[in-house]
Amino acid sequence: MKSLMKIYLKYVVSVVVIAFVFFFFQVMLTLYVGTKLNLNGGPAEGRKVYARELASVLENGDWTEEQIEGILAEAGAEFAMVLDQKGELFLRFHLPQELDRNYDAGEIASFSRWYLEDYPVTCWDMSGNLLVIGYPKGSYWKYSVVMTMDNLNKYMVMLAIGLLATAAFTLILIIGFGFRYFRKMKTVVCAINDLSQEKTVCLQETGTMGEIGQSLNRTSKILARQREKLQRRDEARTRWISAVSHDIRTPLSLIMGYGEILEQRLSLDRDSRKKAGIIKEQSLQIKELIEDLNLTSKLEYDMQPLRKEMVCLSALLREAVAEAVNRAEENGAMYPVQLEISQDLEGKFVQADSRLLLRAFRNLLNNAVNHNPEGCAVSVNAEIEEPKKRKGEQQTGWANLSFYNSGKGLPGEIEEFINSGTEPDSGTHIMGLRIVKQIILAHGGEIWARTNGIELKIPLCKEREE
Amino acid sequence: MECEQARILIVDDNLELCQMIENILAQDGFLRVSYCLSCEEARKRLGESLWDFIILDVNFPGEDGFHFFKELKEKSDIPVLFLSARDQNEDRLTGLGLGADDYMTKPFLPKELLLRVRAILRRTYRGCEKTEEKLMVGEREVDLEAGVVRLAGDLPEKEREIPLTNKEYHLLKLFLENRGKILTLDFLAEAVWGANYYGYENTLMVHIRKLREKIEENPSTPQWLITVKGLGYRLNR
Repeated sequence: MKSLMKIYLKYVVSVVVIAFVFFFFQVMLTLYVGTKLNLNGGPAEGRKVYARELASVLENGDWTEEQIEGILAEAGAEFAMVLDQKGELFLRFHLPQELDRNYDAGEIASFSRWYLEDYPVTCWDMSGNLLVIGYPKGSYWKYSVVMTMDNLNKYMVMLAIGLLATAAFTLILIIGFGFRYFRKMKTVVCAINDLSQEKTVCLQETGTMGEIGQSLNRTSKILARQREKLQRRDEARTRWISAVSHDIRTPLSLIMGYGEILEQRLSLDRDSRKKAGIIKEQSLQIKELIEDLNLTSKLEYDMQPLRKEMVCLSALLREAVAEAVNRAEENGAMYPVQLEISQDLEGKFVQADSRLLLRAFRNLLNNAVNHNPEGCAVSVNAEIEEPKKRKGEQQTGWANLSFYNSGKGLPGEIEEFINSGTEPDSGTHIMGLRIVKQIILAHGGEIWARTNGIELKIPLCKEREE
Repeated sequence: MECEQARILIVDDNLELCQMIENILAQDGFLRVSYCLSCEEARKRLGESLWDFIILDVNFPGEDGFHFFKELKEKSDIPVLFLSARDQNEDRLTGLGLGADDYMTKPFLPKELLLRVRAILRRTYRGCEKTEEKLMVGEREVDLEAGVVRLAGDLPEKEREIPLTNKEYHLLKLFLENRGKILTLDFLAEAVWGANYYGYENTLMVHIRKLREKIEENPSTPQWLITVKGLGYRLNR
């Protein structure tokens, strides 16, 4: 959910930045355009230039009608007139009929600020006389603002407050809308998390997120169906293996039994007895393989019930090693086994299915024997790894076990399988170690393959209550 | 009664297997062996004559061997060995929990079957075992029946016999039954002191030392009862 919060914060920051940049850009554009228009002789400035030019021409006295008309045409003006100090009209150029009269001070004061009969006009002082240039109706907009300084200050403060309030309101809207989406997205993200943990999800299928909700609900149903199908298939497979391994036992009993009977029948020649012995030995191997297959398939699909009890780990290790030594001695002791158990591990217990754990230890010891026919030294070490102390957790530590041998070592493929779970080629025989791995994992332990053996750790349980 | 005289009934629905077991037992000297292929037939045979031992399968078409066993146990104490293809812990525990004398899974080696049958017969009908060979540890003879170790040489009876204590007797019996094999400290302690044997390791050492004094010529450098470092002890062959 942390990532979703990050997305939300990023969204808020980016929207605020965008709004600010947009506002700044607008202000700059307005200023730029305004300045540009004025510098290039905007209306106000242009009118003054033409008024000054016309006034100087008229004051010179040496002017012609064409010259004045030229200036007026250039300025885009429609007419011009000059009033003396009393407001009497004494010069006129293309003056409309209705304006051809004298003006009193009140009229002059009015049109100099506003319009003369809707004609926008520019007035210019011409040595005590007044030059009035008129422009076509509707060609200019004039507005005169008069305000007390006090009001102007108030206006500026209000403007600033307004701007700030707008910014704050915008920010609240951004955060608010963002949060609404955050909450909706949170539901979706939670649902995706649930799906990844193989849980069923049921989201609302209406509203903005309705379509996503529908898709996720559908996906959840499909996944549940597939899970169920897989489980049914796995169970069927395990049951089938279990049934086959059951049904094969009686015929195998007959093969093994008659194999041994014939092997011991003195009336048979030596060669035939040897062959019967081979039949018996190979049947024993088939029996072990079938048992392994059955066990591994049950462990794989959690169908092997674990009869967990308090098991003394050092005792179990001694049992496994003693068995191995007894067997090795029967075979001429090509496999000296050395066991080292640290003193602090003595009397410590694990919650385990002792039969399965013993099976794992046996497989590990047998592995050294089976893959090193020329013999090798085997060493087994066991010690305690003290728990890391964490608040509120009752950890009792781990038993660290290692099974090394001086033989030719594990093939890379098997090492890979133990350490990362990569399945080896179908030609590689790995059943024994697969079962070891499954048993250790089923007991909450960990397992690693090293070049010369296997290391594993099993969680210890609390001290046995006396 | 001698073991070989025991009347053994095999109850299994597989004819070939029954014939093979009959064959195995016959070769080992058991002459009064018979078989039947269903529980129903077994009921009939049990009603007709007396039997000393039953080898019983668990899976029968239409009937469960466990059920038949319960019915059987209500009427008689005939020792029963389950011989089944069901190898799960639950099945094993069910069989033994009901009171069976042993539970063996198929496939099996004939030798193992014979050993188990003989062990049960010995336990049930004491005195049926063959005349045992003398149990010797070096020059000394172990008489488990009398619970003594006899020294070699011409000594008066009283000086020749060294009595074994209860614990020593149990330990020596275990060693003799598993001669040549390493027995772990835990196995020995559990066998003598029961399930809660923890903390008895030192006491075990004391008993072993005492036992050595009785069976070894030179107890400080034992030749027969050997310590296997880190594992346990072994009685050499």
